[in-house]
Amino acid sequence: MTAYCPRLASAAASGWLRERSSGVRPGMPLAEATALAMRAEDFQSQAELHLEAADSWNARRELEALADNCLRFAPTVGIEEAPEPDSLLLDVTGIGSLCGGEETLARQIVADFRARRLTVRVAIADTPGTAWAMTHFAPLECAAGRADAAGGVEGNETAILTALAEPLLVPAGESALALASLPPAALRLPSETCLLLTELGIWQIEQLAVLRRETLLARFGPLVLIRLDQALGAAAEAIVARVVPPEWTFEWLLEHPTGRREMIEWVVEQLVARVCVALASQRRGVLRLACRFTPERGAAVEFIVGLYRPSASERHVGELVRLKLETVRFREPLTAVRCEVLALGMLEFQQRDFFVGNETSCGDPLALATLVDRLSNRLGTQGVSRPWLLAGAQPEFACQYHPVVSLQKKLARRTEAARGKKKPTKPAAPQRESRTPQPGDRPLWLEPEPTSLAVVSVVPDGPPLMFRVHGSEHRIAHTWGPERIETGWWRSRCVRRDYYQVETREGLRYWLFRELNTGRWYLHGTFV
Amino acid sequence: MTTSLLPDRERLSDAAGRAEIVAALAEQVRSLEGERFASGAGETISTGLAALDRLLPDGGLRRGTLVEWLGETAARGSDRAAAASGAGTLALIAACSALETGGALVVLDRTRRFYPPAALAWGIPLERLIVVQPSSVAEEAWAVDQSLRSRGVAAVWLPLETASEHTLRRWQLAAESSGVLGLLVRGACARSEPSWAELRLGVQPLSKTTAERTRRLRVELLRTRSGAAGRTIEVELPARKAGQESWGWRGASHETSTLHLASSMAPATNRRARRA
Repeated sequence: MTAYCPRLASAAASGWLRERSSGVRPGMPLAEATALAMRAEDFQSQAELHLEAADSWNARRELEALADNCLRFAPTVGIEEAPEPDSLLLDVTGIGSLCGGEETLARQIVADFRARRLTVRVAIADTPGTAWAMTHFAPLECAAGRADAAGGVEGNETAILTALAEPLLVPAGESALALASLPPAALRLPSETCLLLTELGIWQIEQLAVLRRETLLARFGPLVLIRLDQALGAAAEAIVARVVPPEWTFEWLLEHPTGRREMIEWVVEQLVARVCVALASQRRGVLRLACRFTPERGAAVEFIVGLYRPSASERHVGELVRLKLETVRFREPLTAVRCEVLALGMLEFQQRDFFVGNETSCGDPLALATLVDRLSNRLGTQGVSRPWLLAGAQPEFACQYHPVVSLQKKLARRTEAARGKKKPTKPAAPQRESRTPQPGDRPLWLEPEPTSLAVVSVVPDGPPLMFRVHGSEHRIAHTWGPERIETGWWRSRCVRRDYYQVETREGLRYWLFRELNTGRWYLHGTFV
Repeated sequence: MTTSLLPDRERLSDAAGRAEIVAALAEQVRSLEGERFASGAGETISTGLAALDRLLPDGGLRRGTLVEWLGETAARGSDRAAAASGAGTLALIAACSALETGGALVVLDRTRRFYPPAALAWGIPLERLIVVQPSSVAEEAWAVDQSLRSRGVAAVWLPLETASEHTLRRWQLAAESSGVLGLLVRGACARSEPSWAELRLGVQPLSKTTAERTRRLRVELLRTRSGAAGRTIEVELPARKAGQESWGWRGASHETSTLHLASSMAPATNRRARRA
C-alpha cells in the first residue's frame, strides 16, 4: 500500500517557521508562548503579537472540507485519528501511473493547496505510519543549507518554503531505511513514552527497532510495538474514509438544441421523476430544487423551487417546477437541462383514516402544505405569509409578516434531517401578543400610508365634525376617543397622534388621527 | 321522483299549493346538488351570530359554497365609501366560526390593507391565518381558485371588486370539490351582477341615536338558491355570538367561574376620580 499524508500548516509557512525558531510548541501555556515569541529576534520588527483562541471544532470542519476536496486525487481519503488531527491520509495505490508518476501527483496536490494559500508537506510511502513520520520529522533539504525540522532553521524563508513543498517519496520496501534516523516521536507515541526513551538513550528509531520485542512490551506496553509494526508494514492500519454525501444532480443533454416548450417541459418532467425516484428509495424528499437551463449562447437561466415540507411526489414537485417554468422565457435554443437537489429532508408518513367521510375533510395539513408550496412558488415566498404581532404601540409597527416557507430554516434543518439524527421540528407558531385588542378597537383595513384629510372641527384640539375623503363628504355623528399614541422616538422622529373612531351619519365607521406636531388630520383605517 | 316533479293541475291553480310545490321542488334540486359536494361539504356551520343564523334558510352557511357580503350605504358616493359598512367584519366572524372544526383561513389581500391585529380581536387564531398578497387581479383569481380547492383550508376571505362570471363559476366548482367556504366581500355595485354564490347578503350600517360603541347593521338576504329572499334582520357588533354568553365571557359558567363575594373597594376620592 502506498499512502501519503500532507502536513498542513494552518496559517502560513512563515508562522510554522517562527513557531519552530522561537520554540513555541502546541500545548504550551499562553504566557510561556508569548514570552518566547516576544524574545524571538525576528519578532522585534512586528508591531504587536496577534493572539487568537484555538477553535478545535472549526479546525476539524476545515480539515474535513480539505479532505473532501482531496477526493479528486484519491478514492479513499481519511483524517488522521488523533485528538487534534493535522494530517490527511490518502490511499493512492496505483494512481501514480495515471498522473505520470507519484511525484507528479504529489506536486499537483502541493499546487492545489498553494492555490488555497496553504503550505503542505506531502510524503508518499508504503504505510500511513511512515508517511506521517516523514511529513512531521523528515529534515528539510534547503538550498541554503540543511535544516532540522525539529530544531533550528537555517537559510531564508523562501528557501525553506520551497523545501517544504518538495514531496518526500519513500521507495517501496524502504520504509525501515527512511525511518532509521528519525526520532521515536515520529512513531506517533505519547510524549511521556518519548521522554522515557530519550532518558534511556534511544534517540533514533533504528535503535528502537533492534531492541528485543519482549523487553519493549514489558517496559512500554503494547503501543510502541503496534506503532513500529504499523510504520514498517507488519501490522495493518486502516484509513477511516470520509463519507461524502451524494450529490443529487440529474442532467439531460439535448442532442439537438431546442426551443420547443413542450419538449423542454417533457425533459423537466423526466428529470423531476428521476429525482423523486432516487430520493424516495431513501425515504427522503425534496426541500429545494434548482433547475438550470443552458442555452446555446448567453447566460444560463436558473430558478429554485422551494417546498414547505419534503416531498418525493413526482406530480407535486413536477407541478411546482411547471409553475415556475411558465414564468421563464428562453430566447435561445437550449442545449442542456439540469435539476439539482439543494436541500432535502426525511419524508413524513401519515397513516390514512380508516373511516373516510365521517368527519369533515378540512384541516388536512398535507393539503395545506401543498397549497402553500403552490402559492409560494407562483407568487413568491414573500407573497404567502403569516402575521406576527409585535409589542409596538404605533399601529403600522404592531404587526409583521413572515413567509410561510422560510428557506433559511430549512437549510439549517437540512443537515440534521439528512443524517436522520433528529426529526425536523415543525416551524414555530407565531407568538401571541399578551395584550390582545378588543373587538372593534382596531380597523380591519389599515391604510399602508395615512391619507391626508380636509377636516372641519369646532374646537381646535377637539374631535372632527366633518371630513372629505375619496371625493365624498362625511358628516360625523359619533366620535370615540382620543386614544393618544406617542412613541417611536428611537426611529427618525417621534410619533404623536390622537386617534378617533368616528361614525358618519350613514353608519360608516373610520379611524382618523390628528398629528399633534402639525395639527393635520389623516385617515388611517376603515372598519370594513 | 319523476312523479313528484310533475305537479297536478289542481294544486297549481291554488296559491298555497303552488308555494308548497315550489318548496318541494327546491328541496329536490338541493338534494340533487348535494351529490355534487365532496365529503364534508354541504355541512351547515353557524355565521357566528345567532340572529343572522335565523335569517338564513339553512340556519347557517353551508361548507363548499360561496357567500357574497355586499357592503351598502344610504349615502351617495363611490363603492369605496361602502367598504366601511361592516360587511367585511360579518364575513370575518363567519370565518372564525368555520375555523372551529380545524383548517386554516386564507385571506387574499391584494391592496396590502388587511390588518391582522383586528382579525385577532375578532377571534381569528393567527397561527391558522395565511395572508396571501398577490400583485395582480389575474394572480388573485388563481390564488383564490387554488385556496378554494385545498382541503387544508376552512375558509377563504377576500375583498372583491369585480370578477367575471366565468371566474366565479370556477371558484364555485373549486369550493364544491373541497368543501371550503368562500367569503367574498363586495361593494353594492355587485347587486346587479349575476352570481354563482349560494347566498348573497346585503349589509347596510344604521345610524345610531345613542353614543354606545356597538355597531348596528341591517342584513338583507338578497339572494338564495332556495328562493326565500328579501328578509331583513338587524344585528349589533360586537354582539352576542351563537353559542356564547357574551364577548369576554367565553365558557364561563356558574360551576367554574370565580364569584367574588367580598364587597368591592371603597370609591376613590373626588380628586382622584376627577384625574382618572
